[in-house]
Amino acid sequence: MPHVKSDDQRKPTALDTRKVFRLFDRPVQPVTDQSN
Amino acid sequence: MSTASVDLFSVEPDRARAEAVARPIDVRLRESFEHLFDVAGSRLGDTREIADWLASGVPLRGMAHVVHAQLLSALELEDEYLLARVADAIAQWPGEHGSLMVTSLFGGDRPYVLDTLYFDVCDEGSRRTYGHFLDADPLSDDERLVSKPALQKAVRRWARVDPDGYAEASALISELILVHSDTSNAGSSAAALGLVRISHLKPGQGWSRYFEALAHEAGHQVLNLLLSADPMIENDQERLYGSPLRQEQRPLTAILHAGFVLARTLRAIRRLEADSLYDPATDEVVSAYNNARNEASFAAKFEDCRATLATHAQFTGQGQRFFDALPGLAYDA
Repeated sequence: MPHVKSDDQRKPTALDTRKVFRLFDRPVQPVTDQSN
Repeated sequence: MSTASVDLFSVEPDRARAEAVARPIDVRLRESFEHLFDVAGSRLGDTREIADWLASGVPLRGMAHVVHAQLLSALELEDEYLLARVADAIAQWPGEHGSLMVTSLFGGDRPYVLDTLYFDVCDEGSRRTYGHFLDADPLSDDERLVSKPALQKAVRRWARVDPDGYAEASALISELILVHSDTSNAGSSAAALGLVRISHLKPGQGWSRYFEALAHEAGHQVLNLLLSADPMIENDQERLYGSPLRQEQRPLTAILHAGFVLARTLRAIRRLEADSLYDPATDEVVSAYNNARNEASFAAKFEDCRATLATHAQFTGQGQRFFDALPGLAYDA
Protein backbone atom coordinates (compact mmCIF):
# COMPACT_ATOMS: atom_id res chain seq x y z
CA MET A 1 0.00 0.00 0.00
CA PRO A 2 2.37 2.74 -1.19
CA HIS A 3 -0.11 5.56 -0.53
CA VAL A 4 1.33 6.60 2.79
CA LYS A 5 2.95 9.99 2.69
CA SER A 6 4.43 12.16 5.36
CA ASP A 7 1.86 14.27 7.18
CA ASP A 8 2.68 17.53 5.45
CA GLN A 9 2.09 15.96 2.01
CA ARG A 10 -1.31 14.51 2.79
CA LYS A 11 -4.30 16.42 1.51
CA PRO A 12 -7.82 15.14 2.08
CA THR A 13 -9.44 13.85 -1.10
CA ALA A 14 -13.14 13.46 -1.85
CA LEU A 15 -14.93 10.28 -0.83
CA ASP A 16 -15.54 8.11 -3.90
CA THR A 17 -18.35 5.66 -3.15
CA ARG A 18 -17.14 3.38 -5.95
CA LYS A 19 -13.93 2.76 -4.01
CA VAL A 20 -15.65 2.04 -0.72
CA PHE A 21 -16.14 -1.49 0.60
CA ARG A 22 -19.64 -2.57 1.53
CA LEU A 23 -20.34 -6.21 2.20
CA PHE A 24 -23.54 -6.07 0.20
CA ASP A 25 -23.26 -4.02 -2.99
CA ARG A 26 -27.01 -3.96 -3.44
CA PRO A 27 -30.06 -2.73 -1.56
CA VAL A 28 -30.69 -5.13 1.32
CA GLN A 29 -33.35 -5.60 3.90
CA PRO A 30 -32.20 -4.64 7.40
CA VAL A 31 -30.97 -8.11 8.33
CA THR A 32 -27.45 -7.00 9.08
CA ASP A 33 -27.68 -7.97 12.74
CA GLN A 34 -28.36 -11.64 13.47
CA SER A 35 -28.98 -11.91 17.16
CA ASN A 36 -31.25 -13.67 19.55
CA MET B 1 -5.11 -22.12 -3.46
CA SER B 2 -7.14 -22.19 -6.65
CA THR B 3 -10.86 -21.80 -6.13
CA ALA B 4 -11.57 -24.09 -9.08
CA SER B 5 -11.80 -27.18 -6.90
CA VAL B 6 -13.83 -25.52 -4.15
CA ASP B 7 -17.63 -25.54 -4.18
CA LEU B 8 -18.21 -21.97 -3.05
CA PHE B 9 -21.89 -22.50 -2.27
CA SER B 10 -21.67 -25.82 -0.45
CA VAL B 11 -23.82 -25.93 2.69
CA GLU B 12 -21.35 -28.13 4.56
CA PRO B 13 -18.47 -26.70 6.59
CA ASP B 14 -15.40 -26.21 4.43
CA ARG B 15 -12.39 -24.18 5.50
CA ALA B 16 -10.96 -23.90 1.97
CA ARG B 17 -14.30 -22.57 0.73
CA ALA B 18 -14.48 -20.06 3.55
CA GLU B 19 -11.02 -18.76 2.75
CA ALA B 20 -11.82 -18.62 -0.97
CA VAL B 21 -14.99 -16.59 -0.41
CA ALA B 22 -13.30 -14.30 2.12
CA ARG B 23 -10.29 -13.56 -0.10
CA PRO B 24 -11.98 -11.14 -2.54
CA ILE B 25 -13.68 -9.44 0.40
CA ASP B 26 -10.25 -8.89 1.95
CA VAL B 27 -9.01 -7.34 -1.30
CA ARG B 28 -11.97 -4.96 -1.47
CA LEU B 29 -11.61 -4.07 2.21
CA ARG B 30 -7.88 -3.40 1.83
CA GLU B 31 -8.45 -1.13 -1.19
CA SER B 32 -11.23 0.66 0.65
CA PHE B 33 -8.98 1.32 3.65
CA GLU B 34 -6.40 2.78 1.29
CA HIS B 35 -8.96 5.16 -0.19
CA LEU B 36 -10.41 6.15 3.19
CA PHE B 37 -6.93 6.86 4.55
CA ASP B 38 -6.44 9.22 1.61
CA VAL B 39 -9.81 10.87 2.23
CA ALA B 40 -9.13 11.36 5.92
CA GLY B 41 -5.62 12.64 5.33
CA SER B 42 -3.70 13.83 8.36
CA ARG B 43 -6.83 13.75 10.54
CA LEU B 44 -6.09 10.05 11.17
CA GLY B 45 -2.60 10.72 12.44
CA ASP B 46 0.20 8.36 11.54
CA THR B 47 -1.29 5.40 9.67
CA ARG B 48 1.97 3.95 8.37
CA GLU B 49 2.19 1.02 10.77
CA ILE B 50 -1.37 -0.14 10.21
CA ALA B 51 -1.11 0.50 6.45
CA ASP B 52 1.93 -1.76 6.29
CA TRP B 53 0.00 -4.46 8.17
CA LEU B 54 -2.95 -4.13 5.80
CA ALA B 55 -0.62 -4.27 2.81
CA SER B 56 1.01 -7.46 4.06
CA GLY B 57 -1.94 -9.45 2.73
CA VAL B 58 -3.01 -11.01 6.02
CA PRO B 59 -6.65 -12.12 6.22
CA LEU B 60 -8.75 -9.28 7.61
CA ARG B 61 -11.22 -10.33 10.27
CA GLY B 62 -13.15 -8.92 13.16
CA MET B 63 -11.89 -5.60 14.36
CA ALA B 64 -10.59 -4.73 10.88
CA HIS B 65 -14.22 -4.66 9.70
CA VAL B 66 -15.27 -2.65 12.75
CA VAL B 67 -12.58 0.00 12.28
CA HIS B 68 -13.37 0.22 8.57
CA ALA B 69 -17.12 0.56 9.17
CA GLN B 70 -16.59 3.33 11.70
CA LEU B 71 -14.05 5.14 9.53
CA LEU B 72 -16.48 5.06 6.62
CA SER B 73 -19.31 6.34 8.82
CA ALA B 74 -17.15 9.15 10.17
CA LEU B 75 -16.24 10.32 6.69
CA GLU B 76 -19.73 9.93 5.21
CA LEU B 77 -21.34 11.78 8.10
CA GLU B 78 -18.45 14.24 8.45
CA ASP B 79 -18.40 13.28 12.12
CA GLU B 80 -15.11 14.65 13.40
CA TYR B 81 -15.64 13.23 16.89
CA LEU B 82 -16.05 9.71 15.51
CA LEU B 83 -13.07 10.28 13.22
CA ALA B 84 -10.97 11.23 16.24
CA ARG B 85 -12.04 8.00 17.99
CA VAL B 86 -11.09 6.00 14.89
CA ALA B 87 -7.72 7.78 14.82
CA ASP B 88 -7.27 6.83 18.46
CA ALA B 89 -8.15 3.21 17.65
CA ILE B 90 -5.73 3.11 14.72
CA ALA B 91 -2.95 4.49 16.91
CA GLN B 92 -3.50 1.70 19.45
CA TRP B 93 -4.70 -1.10 17.19
CA PRO B 94 -2.38 -4.08 17.54
CA GLY B 95 -2.87 -4.89 13.87
CA GLU B 96 -3.42 -8.56 14.37
CA HIS B 97 -6.19 -10.94 15.13
CA GLY B 98 -6.43 -14.37 16.61
CA SER B 99 -8.71 -17.27 15.86
CA LEU B 100 -11.74 -18.16 18.00
CA MET B 101 -10.21 -16.31 20.94
CA VAL B 102 -12.48 -16.08 23.96
CA THR B 103 -12.51 -12.45 25.08
CA SER B 104 -14.95 -10.14 26.81
CA LEU B 105 -16.46 -6.74 26.12
CA PHE B 106 -14.77 -3.90 28.03
CA GLY B 107 -12.71 -6.57 29.78
CA GLY B 108 -9.25 -5.27 28.91
CA ASP B 109 -8.68 -7.67 26.00
CA ARG B 110 -8.12 -4.80 23.55
CA PRO B 111 -7.73 -1.03 23.62
CA TYR B 112 -10.87 0.43 25.21
CA VAL B 113 -11.69 2.56 22.17
CA LEU B 114 -11.97 -0.59 20.03
CA ASP B 115 -14.55 -1.94 22.47
CA THR B 116 -16.56 1.26 22.07
CA LEU B 117 -16.35 1.16 18.27
CA TYR B 118 -17.46 -2.50 18.24
CA PHE B 119 -20.33 -1.80 20.62
CA ASP B 120 -21.55 1.12 18.51
CA VAL B 121 -21.42 -0.88 15.26
CA CYS B 122 -23.51 -3.64 16.81
CA ASP B 123 -25.86 -1.15 18.44
CA GLU B 124 -26.50 0.50 15.07
CA GLY B 125 -27.20 -2.92 13.54
CA SER B 126 -29.54 -3.83 16.37
CA ARG B 127 -31.53 -0.63 16.08
CA ARG B 128 -31.77 -0.89 12.29
CA THR B 129 -32.70 -4.58 12.34
CA TYR B 130 -34.89 -4.88 15.44
CA GLY B 131 -35.66 -1.32 16.46
CA HIS B 132 -34.05 -1.49 19.89
CA PHE B 133 -30.69 -0.72 21.44
CA LEU B 134 -28.07 -3.41 21.88
CA ASP B 135 -28.28 -5.05 25.28
CA ALA B 136 -24.64 -5.84 26.06
CA ASP B 137 -22.68 -4.81 29.14
CA PRO B 138 -19.36 -5.85 30.68
CA LEU B 139 -19.26 -9.17 32.54
CA SER B 140 -18.97 -9.13 36.30
CA ASP B 141 -15.93 -10.92 37.71
CA ASP B 142 -18.15 -13.78 38.88
CA GLU B 143 -19.75 -14.11 35.45
CA ARG B 144 -16.33 -14.20 33.80
CA LEU B 145 -15.16 -16.95 36.17
CA VAL B 146 -18.08 -19.15 35.12
CA SER B 147 -18.69 -18.21 31.50
CA LYS B 148 -15.17 -18.02 30.09
CA PRO B 149 -14.10 -21.59 30.94
CA ALA B 150 -17.50 -22.87 29.80
CA LEU B 151 -17.10 -21.21 26.41
CA GLN B 152 -13.54 -22.49 26.12
CA LYS B 153 -14.79 -26.00 26.88
CA ALA B 154 -17.46 -25.67 24.19
CA VAL B 155 -14.80 -24.66 21.66
CA ARG B 156 -12.63 -27.65 22.60
CA ARG B 157 -15.57 -30.04 22.33
CA TRP B 158 -16.56 -28.53 18.98
CA ALA B 159 -13.04 -29.10 17.66
CA ARG B 160 -13.24 -32.72 18.84
CA VAL B 161 -16.66 -33.71 17.52
CA ASP B 162 -16.92 -31.47 14.43
CA PRO B 163 -13.42 -30.74 13.13
CA ASP B 164 -14.74 -29.46 9.79
CA GLY B 165 -17.08 -26.96 11.42
CA TYR B 166 -14.36 -25.87 13.82
CA ALA B 167 -11.78 -25.49 11.05
CA GLU B 168 -14.13 -23.39 8.92
CA ALA B 169 -14.96 -21.15 11.87
CA SER B 170 -11.29 -20.84 12.76
CA ALA B 171 -10.70 -19.22 9.38
CA LEU B 172 -13.56 -16.74 9.79
CA ILE B 173 -14.03 -15.86 13.45
CA SER B 174 -11.31 -14.01 15.31
CA GLU B 175 -13.05 -13.47 18.66
CA LEU B 176 -15.90 -14.84 20.72
CA ILE B 177 -16.77 -11.82 22.86
CA LEU B 178 -18.53 -12.56 26.12
CA VAL B 179 -20.99 -9.90 27.30
CA HIS B 180 -23.43 -9.51 30.15
CA SER B 181 -26.91 -9.54 28.68
CA ASP B 182 -30.15 -10.54 30.35
CA THR B 183 -32.20 -10.31 27.15
CA SER B 184 -29.97 -11.61 24.35
CA ASN B 185 -28.31 -14.94 23.75
CA ALA B 186 -25.71 -14.43 21.01
CA GLY B 187 -25.29 -12.42 17.85
CA SER B 188 -23.30 -11.59 14.74
CA SER B 189 -23.32 -8.32 12.83
CA ALA B 190 -22.50 -7.94 9.14
CA ALA B 191 -20.49 -4.79 9.89
CA ALA B 192 -18.38 -6.77 12.37
CA LEU B 193 -17.59 -9.85 10.30
CA GLY B 194 -15.54 -12.32 12.27
CA LEU B 195 -16.78 -11.24 15.70
CA VAL B 196 -19.42 -13.12 17.68
CA ARG B 197 -20.87 -11.82 20.93
CA ILE B 198 -22.25 -14.29 23.45
CA SER B 199 -24.01 -13.51 26.70
CA HIS B 200 -23.04 -14.80 30.13
CA LEU B 201 -24.27 -18.16 31.41
CA LYS B 202 -27.53 -18.00 33.31
CA PRO B 203 -28.39 -20.21 36.30
CA GLY B 204 -28.91 -23.80 35.20
CA GLN B 205 -27.01 -23.37 31.94
CA GLY B 206 -23.75 -25.14 31.08
CA TRP B 207 -21.17 -25.26 28.33
CA SER B 208 -23.55 -27.01 25.92
CA ARG B 209 -25.47 -23.74 25.58
CA TYR B 210 -22.31 -22.31 24.07
CA PHE B 211 -21.91 -25.35 21.80
CA GLU B 212 -25.21 -24.45 20.17
CA ALA B 213 -24.14 -20.81 19.90
CA LEU B 214 -20.90 -21.74 18.12
CA ALA B 215 -22.62 -23.83 15.45
CA HIS B 216 -25.37 -21.23 15.06
CA GLU B 217 -23.22 -18.09 14.85
CA ALA B 218 -20.59 -19.71 12.64
CA GLY B 219 -23.43 -20.38 10.22
CA HIS B 220 -24.38 -16.70 10.17
CA GLN B 221 -20.77 -15.75 9.52
CA VAL B 222 -20.52 -18.13 6.55
CA LEU B 223 -23.84 -17.12 5.04
CA ASN B 224 -23.02 -13.41 5.28
CA LEU B 225 -19.94 -14.11 3.15
CA LEU B 226 -21.91 -16.14 0.61
CA LEU B 227 -24.65 -13.51 0.38
CA SER B 228 -22.04 -10.91 -0.45
CA ALA B 229 -21.10 -13.00 -3.50
CA ASP B 230 -24.66 -13.87 -4.58
CA PRO B 231 -28.00 -12.55 -3.26
CA MET B 232 -29.49 -16.10 -3.42
CA ILE B 233 -33.04 -14.69 -3.12
CA GLU B 234 -34.32 -12.28 -5.78
CA ASN B 235 -37.53 -11.14 -4.08
CA ASP B 236 -36.07 -10.35 -0.66
CA GLN B 237 -37.43 -6.80 -0.78
CA GLU B 238 -41.09 -7.72 -1.26
CA ARG B 239 -42.51 -8.49 2.19
CA LEU B 240 -41.85 -10.01 5.62
CA TYR B 241 -42.68 -13.48 6.98
CA GLY B 242 -42.91 -15.25 10.33
CA SER B 243 -39.69 -16.70 11.72
CA PRO B 244 -39.45 -19.61 14.19
CA LEU B 245 -36.59 -17.81 15.96
CA ARG B 246 -37.86 -14.23 16.26
CA GLN B 247 -41.02 -12.53 17.48
CA GLU B 248 -41.07 -9.99 14.67
CA GLN B 249 -41.61 -10.78 11.00
CA ARG B 250 -38.45 -11.08 8.94
CA PRO B 251 -37.40 -10.79 5.29
CA LEU B 252 -36.73 -13.96 3.32
CA THR B 253 -32.95 -13.60 3.57
CA ALA B 254 -33.31 -13.71 7.35
CA ILE B 255 -35.49 -16.82 7.04
CA LEU B 256 -32.72 -18.36 4.94
CA HIS B 257 -30.24 -17.42 7.67
CA ALA B 258 -32.46 -19.10 10.28
CA GLY B 259 -32.97 -22.25 8.18
CA PHE B 260 -29.28 -22.57 7.43
CA VAL B 261 -28.05 -22.09 11.00
CA LEU B 262 -30.69 -24.52 12.27
CA ALA B 263 -29.51 -27.14 9.75
CA ARG B 264 -25.91 -26.51 10.84
CA THR B 265 -27.00 -26.85 14.49
CA LEU B 266 -28.78 -30.16 13.84
CA ARG B 267 -25.63 -31.44 12.15
CA ALA B 268 -23.34 -30.34 15.00
CA ILE B 269 -25.60 -31.76 17.72
CA ARG B 270 -25.72 -35.10 15.90
CA ARG B 271 -21.93 -35.22 16.12
CA LEU B 272 -21.88 -34.08 19.73
CA GLU B 273 -24.31 -36.81 20.77
CA ALA B 274 -22.39 -39.51 18.87
CA ASP B 275 -19.15 -38.73 20.71
CA SER B 276 -17.98 -40.99 23.53
CA LEU B 277 -17.65 -38.06 25.95
CA TYR B 278 -21.30 -37.07 25.55
CA ASP B 279 -23.34 -37.38 28.73
CA PRO B 280 -27.05 -36.84 28.08
CA ALA B 281 -27.60 -36.05 31.76
CA THR B 282 -25.44 -32.92 31.65
CA ASP B 283 -24.61 -32.12 28.02
CA GLU B 284 -28.00 -31.99 26.29
CA VAL B 285 -28.38 -28.94 24.05
CA VAL B 286 -31.59 -27.10 24.91
CA SER B 287 -31.96 -24.19 22.54
CA ALA B 288 -31.17 -20.81 24.07
CA TYR B 289 -32.29 -19.01 20.89
CA ASN B 290 -35.77 -18.46 22.26
CA ASN B 291 -36.67 -14.90 21.31
CA ALA B 292 -39.86 -16.27 19.69
CA ARG B 293 -40.78 -18.25 22.86
CA ASN B 294 -41.04 -21.20 20.48
CA GLU B 295 -40.69 -24.59 22.19
CA ALA B 296 -40.66 -26.57 18.93
CA SER B 297 -37.74 -28.88 18.19
CA PHE B 298 -34.73 -27.79 16.12
CA ALA B 299 -36.05 -29.95 13.27
CA ALA B 300 -39.54 -28.44 13.43
CA LYS B 301 -38.10 -24.92 13.35
CA PHE B 302 -35.92 -25.88 10.41
CA GLU B 303 -38.93 -27.27 8.54
CA ASP B 304 -40.86 -24.08 9.32
CA CYS B 305 -38.16 -22.04 7.57
CA ARG B 306 -37.97 -24.48 4.69
CA ALA B 307 -41.71 -24.32 4.07
CA THR B 308 -41.72 -20.50 4.05
CA LEU B 309 -38.79 -20.39 1.64
CA ALA B 310 -40.18 -23.11 -0.65
CA THR B 311 -43.48 -21.24 -0.93
CA HIS B 312 -42.31 -17.67 -1.27
CA ALA B 313 -38.63 -17.37 -2.26
CA GLN B 314 -37.56 -16.76 -5.84
CA PHE B 315 -34.04 -18.15 -5.75
CA THR B 316 -31.07 -17.39 -7.94
CA GLY B 317 -29.39 -20.46 -9.44
CA GLN B 318 -26.87 -20.65 -6.61
CA GLY B 319 -29.59 -19.93 -4.07
CA GLN B 320 -31.78 -22.78 -5.33
CA ARG B 321 -28.89 -25.24 -5.17
CA PHE B 322 -28.01 -24.06 -1.67
CA PHE B 323 -31.62 -24.32 -0.49
CA ASP B 324 -32.08 -27.79 -2.01
CA ALA B 325 -29.01 -29.04 -0.12
CA LEU B 326 -30.24 -27.93 3.32
CA PRO B 327 -32.20 -31.10 4.27
CA GLY B 328 -29.11 -33.21 3.59
CA LEU B 329 -27.13 -30.94 5.89
CA ALA B 330 -29.78 -31.07 8.60
CA TYR B 331 -30.46 -34.79 8.59
CA ASP B 332 -27.65 -36.70 6.87
CA ALA B 333 -24.36 -34.82 6.76
